[in-house]
Amino acid sequence: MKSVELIDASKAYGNGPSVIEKLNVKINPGEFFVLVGPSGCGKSTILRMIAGLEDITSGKLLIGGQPANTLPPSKRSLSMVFQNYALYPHLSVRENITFGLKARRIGKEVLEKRLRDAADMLDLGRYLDRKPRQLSGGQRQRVALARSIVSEAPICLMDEPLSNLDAKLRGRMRSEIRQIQRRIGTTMIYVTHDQIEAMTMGDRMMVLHDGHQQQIGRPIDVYNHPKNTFVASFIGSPQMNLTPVVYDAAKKLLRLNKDWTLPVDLPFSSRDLTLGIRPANIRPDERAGENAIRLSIKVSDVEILGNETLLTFLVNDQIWTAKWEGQWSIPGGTVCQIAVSAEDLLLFDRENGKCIHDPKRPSKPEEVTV
Amino acid sequence: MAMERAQVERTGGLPATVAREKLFRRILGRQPAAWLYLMPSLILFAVFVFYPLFKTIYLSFFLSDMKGLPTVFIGLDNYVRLFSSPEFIQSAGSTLLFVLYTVPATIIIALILALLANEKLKGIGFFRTIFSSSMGISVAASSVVWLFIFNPSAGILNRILSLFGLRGINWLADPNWALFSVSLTTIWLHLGFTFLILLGGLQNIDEHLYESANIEGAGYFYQLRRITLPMLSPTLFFVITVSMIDAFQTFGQIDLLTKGGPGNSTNLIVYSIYQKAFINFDFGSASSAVVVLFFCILLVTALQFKFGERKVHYQ
Repeated sequence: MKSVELIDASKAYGNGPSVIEKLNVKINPGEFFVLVGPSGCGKSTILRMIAGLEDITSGKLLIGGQPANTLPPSKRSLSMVFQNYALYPHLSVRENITFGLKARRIGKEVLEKRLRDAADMLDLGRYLDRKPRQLSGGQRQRVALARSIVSEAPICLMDEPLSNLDAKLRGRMRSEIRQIQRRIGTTMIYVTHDQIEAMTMGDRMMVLHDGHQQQIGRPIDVYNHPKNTFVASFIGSPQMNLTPVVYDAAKKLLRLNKDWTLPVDLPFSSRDLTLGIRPANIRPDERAGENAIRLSIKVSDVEILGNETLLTFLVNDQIWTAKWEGQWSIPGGTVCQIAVSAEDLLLFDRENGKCIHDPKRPSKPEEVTV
Repeated sequence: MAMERAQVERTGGLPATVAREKLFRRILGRQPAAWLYLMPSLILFAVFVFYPLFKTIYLSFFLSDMKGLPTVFIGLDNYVRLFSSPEFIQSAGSTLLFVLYTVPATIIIALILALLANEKLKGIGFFRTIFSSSMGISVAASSVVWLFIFNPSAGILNRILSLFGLRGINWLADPNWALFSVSLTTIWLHLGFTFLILLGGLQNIDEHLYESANIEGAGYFYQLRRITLPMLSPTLFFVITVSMIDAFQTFGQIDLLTKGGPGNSTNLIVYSIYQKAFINFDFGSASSAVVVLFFCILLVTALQFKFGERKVHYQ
């Protein structure tokens, strides 16, 4: 298995502005690495730069420690699964899977063995003589996976492979892809716009926005300790509540507006901030601890999602959401008490969006172990 | 039926109206509006295709006068005379040769040009325009241009030959070269259209297939053989069929370049029919040749559909 490293990698089309700006990341051998971001953030472009389908305008790409900027795609020891699977419609499943092996003139015995193994692994044995159009979406997806497995390439790139599947199948393929990756141990670089896929599948992920890398880390760390307001709002569902606040250092108060204040003691002088709090960290009054800060709100909407309930209410003319466990039938318009604890409050600089106060963040960044 | 009856009872319509409606239904089918939409093309086809077709078949069983009116019914005599005439046999032979000279060459050259023009290069739009430009030139205009090119003393072809110290060729007047020369013109003439259709077919192929093949290590010619040609097969099939029919029906360039000569060497079937009908005013015999040509084209096209289409992959 091989590592992939990007050093100051940038991409621009023609003389236009860069669409990817100075990317720095090292993806370890055997790691499941997810590139996640909203559509148009450049994540697919990064994948195509690694694959050699797009030039790298400046910066370096190392594959297995070797410079790979100018290598043709076939020499980069990788396989790729495309969003639309890119199956050859005129070839049978068998021919589709073995296309690359035949092109590389791999011996018949080896080819048959790899085909059999991959077909067994993905349960495709019965469909080998069918054409892609005779397969369902999930089966086509498996053929595309099988094609990448038989290549035995040490690196596998996937470009939103699950986006064409329905929700149920997506859930199943998610764990299936993860399991296959663990079993064969390839280095996986996986592009998605779906933060749930990123959270559940990746060993580490990189959050991207407008061609800039925002944060790299284990999914759980990115979720708990977002570096800036973009990451905070992008990762997590429902998204983090963000509201402009002012810190009054003299009174040790966070002022949301003239009625609403949160008493907290912060180690800096008065300034404009953005307050962030996860919906799950807003609790009902009676379930909160002694030290919680209590506020009364007027509920504007309630959605009961089975075993949890989403409450929406207005704070400072901004919609906040709270996620409470259990079923709460509260009529709209009810005034009720919510509680938040000071250690769940994240504070971001209002100017540049950077996180400047995260009480739970460990003083030393954790070592990433893969 | 039951529904119709129920409807009649409910509306309580007049029996006469109901009967008339039923008659319309029987003639026009269940969707009379469909016929209305088909009407414009049906009328055009009827006037310019079906009527002349049946009139021609009818005429081919008659002797005709100078105005082309049938005079004496002679049964299959026109056909018998046709197949025993060495001129017609020669003409059919030349036509087959002409098809062989032009169709494969046109398609192969157009395919190569289309493959080149499909590459993503700077300024490729200029070449696409150039390659398809012969589509915009009429048969008459291009024939005149080629007359100059073929001119034995001033033409550029002989000039080039003389540069290499070769003797000039009398392109259009030499019976050994005339059919080749006409074929050359025809290939050039058809190149634009064929190129454009093939380029369109190439651009319809999903770019991801090539990207995937590149990653999998397939070389250019492997991709051409295993992806491009199979994916292009419906377009190729269309182009081959249309080119064949076109080649069988060639007329304009013959009339302007050689008038069927020298020594009937370029007297292709359609031109010979024209001579029969409008120079010799032998409409009956011309009609029988037309019918023979019609069935030849029909047969070739049917064979193509039967055997060629097996190799065609439709998405």
